[in-house]
Amino acid sequence: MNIVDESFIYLNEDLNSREAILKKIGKDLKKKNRIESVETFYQDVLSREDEMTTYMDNGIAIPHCKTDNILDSTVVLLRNNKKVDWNDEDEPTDLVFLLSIKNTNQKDDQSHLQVLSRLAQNLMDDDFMEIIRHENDIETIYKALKKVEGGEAS
Amino acid sequence: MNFIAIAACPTGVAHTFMVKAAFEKAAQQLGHSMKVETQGATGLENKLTAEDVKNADVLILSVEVSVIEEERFKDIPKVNIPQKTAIKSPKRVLTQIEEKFNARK
Repeated sequence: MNIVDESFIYLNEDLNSREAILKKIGKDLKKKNRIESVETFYQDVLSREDEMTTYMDNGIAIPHCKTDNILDSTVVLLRNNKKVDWNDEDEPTDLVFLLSIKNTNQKDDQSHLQVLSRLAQNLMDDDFMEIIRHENDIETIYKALKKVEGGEAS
Repeated sequence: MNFIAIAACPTGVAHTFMVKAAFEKAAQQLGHSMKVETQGATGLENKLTAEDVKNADVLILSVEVSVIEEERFKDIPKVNIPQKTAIKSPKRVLTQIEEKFNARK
């Protein structure tokens, strides 16, 4: 299953809270059989947030979790129309770049981790971020993500 | 300056690699040399060798978990930088370390 999937790029959401955002993503991941349980997914992401907030800067958060509840790794991009509170100490967030990471202990099954870490690295790239933040054409964003998935730095 | 760094975080997928990218980019822009070892979910990557450590001025530790094979670094000055700071303002981090380093000489 592909880590980058057009159906997990959301550009025009009207969600009211961090919980609503994470549950929406969880439900859709469940629908596509990429996770086992929505509630477990939600709790796992939150427990990672409690360890250390994944809020970055400029309204961007990068929640993630790596557990047995995840059946196939997925990258999710969600742009919300308004900012919602992320963690108490953070600024509000309107761009969520979520990594849902399958747990694996097998050395030969780690290619998905490399793809996800390349995606994370690209969050520090200005051109890539410009596309993620402002581009309104899903196809263009999908191609930018695909390019990273395929191993090309942007 | 000659920087080496280690990045490691609990999940070992996101922040570790963002820190790596942030430091590499900032060092390039400021004309420093930089090698970042990542201790992430895929194991030790871009591993710092004895030679790297010998040639470096300072080791930056940007880790939220304990460092693997820490004994490699017993003889080099170390600076701890939280990952959030590294990701948010890597250039300022490097410049401040450089200033401190030069003041000590």
